[in-house]
Amino acid sequence: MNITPIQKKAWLELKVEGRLDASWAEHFFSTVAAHMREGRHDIRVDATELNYLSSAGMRSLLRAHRELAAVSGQFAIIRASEFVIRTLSMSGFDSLLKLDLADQDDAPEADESEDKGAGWTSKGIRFEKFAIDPDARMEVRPAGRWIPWARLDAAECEKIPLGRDCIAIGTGASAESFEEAKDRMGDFASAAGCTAWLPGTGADSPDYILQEGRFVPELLAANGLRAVGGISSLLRFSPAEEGASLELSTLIESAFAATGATSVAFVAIAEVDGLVGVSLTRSPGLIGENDKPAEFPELREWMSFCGERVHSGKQALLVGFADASRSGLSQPLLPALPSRNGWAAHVHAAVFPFHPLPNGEIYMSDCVAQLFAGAEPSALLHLVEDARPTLGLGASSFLRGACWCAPATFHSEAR
Amino acid sequence: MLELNNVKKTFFPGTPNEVQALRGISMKLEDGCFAAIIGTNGSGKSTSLNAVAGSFMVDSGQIHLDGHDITKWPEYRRASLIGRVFQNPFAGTAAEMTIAENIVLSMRRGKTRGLGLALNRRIREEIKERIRPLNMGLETRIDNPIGTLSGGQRQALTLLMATWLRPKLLLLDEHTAALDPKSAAQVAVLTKEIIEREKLTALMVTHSMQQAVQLPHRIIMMHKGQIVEDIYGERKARVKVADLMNAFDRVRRRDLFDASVAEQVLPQFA
Ligand SMILES: Nc1ncnc2c1ncn2[C@@H]1O[C@H](COP(=O)(O)OP(=O)(O)OP(=O)(O)O)[C@@H](O)[C@H]1O
Ligand SMILES: [Mg+2]
Repeated sequence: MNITPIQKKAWLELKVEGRLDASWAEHFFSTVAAHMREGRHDIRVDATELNYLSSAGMRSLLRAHRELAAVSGQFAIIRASEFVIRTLSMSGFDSLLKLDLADQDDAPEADESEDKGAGWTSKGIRFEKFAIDPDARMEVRPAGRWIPWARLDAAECEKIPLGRDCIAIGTGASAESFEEAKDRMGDFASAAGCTAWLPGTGADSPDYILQEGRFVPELLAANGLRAVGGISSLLRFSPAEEGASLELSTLIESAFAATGATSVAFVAIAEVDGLVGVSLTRSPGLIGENDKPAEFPELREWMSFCGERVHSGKQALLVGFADASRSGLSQPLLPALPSRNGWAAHVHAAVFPFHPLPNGEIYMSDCVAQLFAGAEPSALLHLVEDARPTLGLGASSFLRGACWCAPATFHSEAR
Repeated sequence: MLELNNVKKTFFPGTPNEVQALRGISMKLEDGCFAAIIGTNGSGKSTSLNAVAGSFMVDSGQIHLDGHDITKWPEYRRASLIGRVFQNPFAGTAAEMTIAENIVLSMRRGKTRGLGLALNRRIREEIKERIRPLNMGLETRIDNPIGTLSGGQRQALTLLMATWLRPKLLLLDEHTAALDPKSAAQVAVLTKEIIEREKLTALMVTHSMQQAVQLPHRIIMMHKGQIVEDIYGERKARVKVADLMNAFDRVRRRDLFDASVAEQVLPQFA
């Protein structure tokens, strides 16, 4: 079987030759999926030279159709031999046939008209900005008062609601009481009523809690930042050049630019090029009188380091806060970002299997909910930069995705 | 019961080739417990088994087996309590001798004086009886040289011989690693069957995560001469291959987390 991609202006045409049977079905589907990953959401098949189609082959066509429909895209067979048309029709798959599309001119550039944002290209990355609500902002407040790596006191913890109206990151546990929480406190990230947290029990994968109906999840936070308000802008980004990727600090810079603010709160969903981060493996609630978690090598009992750039090709949900005004530096939970002088940032990433996002203007709450509905998070990291000479892993970077952001006001006390 | 208490072994001490192969191994293996030892290359798995079998004397620590302090026992004396199977199907048997002769030889193992076990009719019948459940058709070939058998058949027989006298401890060092996948699976199943039927206490070194998950009651993971994970009970019941891979990953990441990393990440955490 041979698949030849032909790039048209408004869609991608795949010329398929040979047999589409059980032995080629997976190859066909993964080829379509790879093009989807690159943002091709209108994929049309020329099946004139397809001379055999089995049930497994038809299933792979249907699967491609479903995946593209899920991102508001299109998958259609626009040219086919009599044999293929007959086979599809008889099996009830004729909805995949859109032979009339073949006659359409490639020129109309329909996708240019609708929800096209203002765009620019920087460091090989193409950005598009969509204004959502110019007046929206985020009010950010601390949640919990634990200062790493002191012993954790029950009175420092704070129960916080994590409903659809807020975003939050920090260290905490899903538990009713401090007694219950104290041996399982770990990193968490929350957006749009969906919270992933990595229990500090040495767990390999995060647990998650979702807002369902009137049930608003709560977390007992040792510390954290929680923001309520609205999104002012959406940034879409993708590589404009082969091999280009977007570093976290550049993403933050773009959020500053998009909002016109020097303090931002953001949520992003992005295909991972590589993540660099740490996570708590032992609950801070267990820090004892004689423990020195902030000293090496004891630190390794409490925290794990990714060791290499991880989760390439996965989809990450980022929840973060950043500040370039220097006022944020006084905020206990905004550590300095080493690569940028005077910047401070705190970003958590929850990692999911890759699933493409629709193109254009998309809604944060829908996309986050879909991410959690599709699969479970497989990892949760507190992102860091590793600037060690030669050995350093550098900063987390991303290929394409969406970043919803808003100007942020940091308040020093919980209300 | 097998008990190791802070067992240490350094090879070539004080030379540039010094290797701290065991850095304080402690474990208690209850009677009837079947444990797998997994770990990266050179982590000390074979050395642990060798220390128990008495291939060398340990530098410090104690080893108890079946109520005896065997720490100072020479290897041949421990052999009366311990059955062993190695990776190489050709080790432990004599190729030019027949199946029956090899088995008789193994029945004598560990006994200080030759008991003159002759290949009489009764013994021949017993041998056939015990070979039949292997389902390899070997019961009709007990007078064939063992060298004419396939690796899988030889390893199955070696296993049978090692457990013939119901040893207090069975040591298996990657005993399926040199076999083709199908024979390996066959010998693995046979291993579990024999251990469960005879209620043996066993330690099995394996590189197969699948085997570690499916066969034993307990999984011990070694790294750099230490035990870094000990999975038993309800944790063992739900452990999957992916969990073991994650455990390896954790160990590797921990190695990469050095003081220079700590210096980088600590200020960014708080
Ligand atoms: N008899 C010996 N003399 C010198 N060094 C030894 C001896 N036996 C083992 N070592 C060394 O001790 C370390 C542990 O070896 P060991 O064979 O126990 O590893 P292992 O976990 O069984 O690895 P593998 O998976 O490769 O079999 C290695 O560095 C090895 O080279
Ligand atoms: Mg070995």
